[in-house]
Amino acid sequence: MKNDVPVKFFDISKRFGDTLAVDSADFSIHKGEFFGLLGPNGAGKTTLIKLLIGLANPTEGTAEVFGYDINEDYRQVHSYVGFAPAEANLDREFNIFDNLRFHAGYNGVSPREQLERAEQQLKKFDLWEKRNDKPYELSTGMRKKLLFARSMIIDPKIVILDEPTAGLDLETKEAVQNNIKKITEEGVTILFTTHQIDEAERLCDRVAIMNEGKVIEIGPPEELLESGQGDLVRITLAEEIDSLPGKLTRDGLRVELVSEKKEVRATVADGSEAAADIMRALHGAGIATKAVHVEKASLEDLFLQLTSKDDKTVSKENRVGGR
Amino acid sequence: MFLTLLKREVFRYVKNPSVTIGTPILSQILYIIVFGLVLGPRIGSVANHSYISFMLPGLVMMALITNSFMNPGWSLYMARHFDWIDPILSSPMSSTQMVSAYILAGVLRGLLVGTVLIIVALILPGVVAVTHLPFVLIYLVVVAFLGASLGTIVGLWADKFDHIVLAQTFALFPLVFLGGVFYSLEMIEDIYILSILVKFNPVTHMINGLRYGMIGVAELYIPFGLTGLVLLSSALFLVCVWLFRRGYNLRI
Repeated sequence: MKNDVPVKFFDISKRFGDTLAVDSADFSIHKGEFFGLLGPNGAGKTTLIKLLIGLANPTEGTAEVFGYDINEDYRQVHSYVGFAPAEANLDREFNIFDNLRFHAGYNGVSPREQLERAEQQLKKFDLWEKRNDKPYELSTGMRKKLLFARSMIIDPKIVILDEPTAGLDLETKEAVQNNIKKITEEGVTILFTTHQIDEAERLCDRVAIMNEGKVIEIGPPEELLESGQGDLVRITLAEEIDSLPGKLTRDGLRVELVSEKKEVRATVADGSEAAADIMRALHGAGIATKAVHVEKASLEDLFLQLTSKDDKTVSKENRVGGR
Repeated sequence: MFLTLLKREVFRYVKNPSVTIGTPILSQILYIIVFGLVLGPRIGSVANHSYISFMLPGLVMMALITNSFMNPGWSLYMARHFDWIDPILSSPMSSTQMVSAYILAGVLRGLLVGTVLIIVALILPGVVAVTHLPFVLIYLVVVAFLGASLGTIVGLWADKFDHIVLAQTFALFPLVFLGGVFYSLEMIEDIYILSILVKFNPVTHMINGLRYGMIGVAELYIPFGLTGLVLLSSALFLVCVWLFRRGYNLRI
């Protein structure tokens, strides 16, 4: 290893025609960290991961893994990274035991050790009984576990998990989460993408929120919430309205109309103060209200706020503090 | 790393011998029976050899090049189509190692089919034995290597199943059938354009070389053909490595 930084992106971009799938990503992931990459579909999360593991060529910029450049030193980079993709890319021509041992072999594990490690991983993930099955004979949950097991068979220093719990039932999800927790205890760095914000909030040390290719916010979940967007204000309207009063948008309050246009919602620093301002604006426009709720905002509220179309170009000063 | 991928590629056809090895052998044996044993005596001798002896090296080459071509072609196409190439691409293997594994697996499949065919043919009555063994071996290896390199390129290029069939039907088969499997160059002397084109067809030189190795008859200059085939194979190998390095149809 050239240095102690598991992953560092240097203004890396990826363009497909006119679309900028990843736009100048520039951040680091620390050693032993559980790092979450959040964003809606098409935000650029998977492309960013593919850039890191050699499945995509960057248009501009680069990245390093423990100081090794992803292009020039790709062999060293790949030897450190285990990857479990969102979609199963398992070898359909071989059973799951062969899938694991071949994967170990592609990564330089000796033939004898390949067999030992494949057995060990299948047992660890409760898949030993299925060792002679083809990947397509497994359930979604089992395939996810197998992908996870495959990523671990090379003893990686970094594990990248792309939507590891998507589409799983509660029991399997919990089992996968427990396995993830176990490997973090072993000091392995984890880069994890998910749509399930509560999961990221609970598991991750830090998260990056991506939207339309850009990393728009990065930090520990609690700090992101405390940095200003701490409260969620929900105001139920007496009846449906077509649009928000102009004053609300002019004043720079980041509010939105939800629940079939019968609720006004805003994630703000000071809930009670913002609620009073919004109420005044609504009443001033002749809009009747039924109820007001101010509650602690979750990471999901922040995520929705940051990734909604209106907010994508909002500066941090505007987002944090609200006015 | 390289050995595991090679093992995977070889296991792929070894575990389905009836489809991957049995079928081509059966089809070539049918050619031997129909063209060699049934029609051969009516055609008479060609270049002072029975027709079956003359035709056999061509049939071996046909099976050899087709099988060495199909193995990496199909395997790479499938691996790309179902994305199971991704774990290979994100392993520490170099592009040269990956290409070598795909090509070598194709070479071994071609050699397996070719060798079985030669053994079967030698059992048949009236077939001349191998006269220049080193030439037989050299031509088998060079041609299998060339076929597998071509298959690797097609496997990378093909976006759908039909593209592989297209390459086989419109490129490989015409070259093979017009490469003198079933006739000598003397027989097409009167068809001027064909006789000229056939000499530029690499498959003609492949068959010519193997025919020399097996029955001692060469209609074209062997050193020229062999040098050309070695250069062509080397060039195709380098193209394969370059395509893998660039990530052609492999990386986004």
